[in-house]
Amino acid sequence: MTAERRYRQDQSHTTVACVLEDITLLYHRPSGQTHMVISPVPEILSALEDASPATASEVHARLARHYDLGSSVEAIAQIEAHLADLAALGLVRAA
Amino acid sequence: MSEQLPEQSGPIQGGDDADAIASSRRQLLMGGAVAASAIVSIRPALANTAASVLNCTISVPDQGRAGGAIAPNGQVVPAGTPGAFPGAGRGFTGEQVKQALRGRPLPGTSYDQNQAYLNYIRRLQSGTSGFTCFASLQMPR
Amino acid sequence: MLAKLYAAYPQPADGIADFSVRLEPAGLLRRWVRPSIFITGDHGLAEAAPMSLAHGLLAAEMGMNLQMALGWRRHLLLHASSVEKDGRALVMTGESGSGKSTLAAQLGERGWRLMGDEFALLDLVTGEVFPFPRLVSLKNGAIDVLAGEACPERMGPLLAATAKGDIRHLVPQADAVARMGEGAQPALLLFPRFGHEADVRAVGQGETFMRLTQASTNYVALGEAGFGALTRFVRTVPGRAIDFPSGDEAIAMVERLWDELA
Repeated sequence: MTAERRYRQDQSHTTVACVLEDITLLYHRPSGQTHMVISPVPEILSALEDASPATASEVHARLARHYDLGSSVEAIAQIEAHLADLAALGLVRAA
Repeated sequence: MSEQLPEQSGPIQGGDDADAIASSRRQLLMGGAVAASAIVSIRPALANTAASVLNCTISVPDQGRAGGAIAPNGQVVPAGTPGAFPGAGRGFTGEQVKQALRGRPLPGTSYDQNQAYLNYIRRLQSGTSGFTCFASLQMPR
Repeated sequence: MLAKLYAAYPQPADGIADFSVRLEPAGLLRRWVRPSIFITGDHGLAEAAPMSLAHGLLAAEMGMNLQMALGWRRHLLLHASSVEKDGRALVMTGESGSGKSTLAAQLGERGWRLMGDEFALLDLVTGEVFPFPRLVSLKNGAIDVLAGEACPERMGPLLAATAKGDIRHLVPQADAVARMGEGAQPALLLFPRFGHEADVRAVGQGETFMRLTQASTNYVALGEAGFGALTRFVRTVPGRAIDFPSGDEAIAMVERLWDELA
């Protein structure tokens, strides 16, 4: 069984967020890049913020406290995919 | 707040919001949005324009010093100076320079000549022809 | 010729222009064979096509546009026209041919203060829009439209068959030139589309933001300050896409939307 990757936020205060009506904008200071993100990405980032590093399952568990996520197997796989995208952009880090 | 932007260290503060907001997000991850990318990164506008700076060229040395040779440390020296390389007969494109900075040598150069040319390029100052092109390569992606 | 059209403009305060634009003969041989002008300056464009001397005015304009696009750091630079009324700015952005420049010029002849036909400067700190009222560059059909509305002394010579088509320059009204240093808070953003059946559509903030980054030449270079300025703009300024078959229809739509939203 493969070990699940653990992720953490990319230091604190490296990302500036602006919530618009339909999307969220993120400005990532270290890279100078701007990203437009939609659910569930802002919620995933929120689940990692100022919290201990987490696997996709653990992020799922944190989100499930506030949101209805449907089938957990699918949701965890999707969260993992989003975390991998975010890690590739430097918005989260493998812990 | 003295900063011009209300800074949040993270995205939406979820969970404690009014019921209306919570219920509109309650259906997180169900169906749709995940198939398409949930992250779109802004690309520099100039990269999309036809007359892009990335089509720029850097002459080694610049045309104002066309007769000069390039010392190993990148300085422009008189032609014939021992140890110095002749200038390139043509300009290099921004793309070629970008590749060279990552390890693929500039076309038509030996290893040492390539190093000398790159040192020349790294020394470019504002006002020297080619500086804008080099600076544009340094812009965040 | 350039000096005559710009006669009403103030000289730069310290005598030093913000940018230098040099028009150089393109190579020794070309100077004798056929006079050419090669656009250069602090920021060069390697593949810019040489142009005949008769189009030197246009070459200077293009040179100036390029300078603006590549060098300005004090404001967020938007590829947009802007006009002002009652201390508030209308900003219009779109690609070449969208009608933003012609519409701004027409509004400038109808009681609005023309702030710019090509660029709008967004103050990074206050969020105000500032003018850049260089000569209006009228292309093809727009020439006849404005020639019918503006007095002849303010129109430049016809530059026929340039790379951008027929061009004539229009000097903004004296009031607009005199108030070049005066900004205004943006109150309405329009995405115009000339040549379509009349229609108005709301534009979401996300789409507005993305389109404005595409319309900005220095958003990325400004970093976090650019992010702050553009997000503030998007959050505070309503955006509408307008389609119109004619200038008169466009003007009517603009006045209606301004009354409604600004």
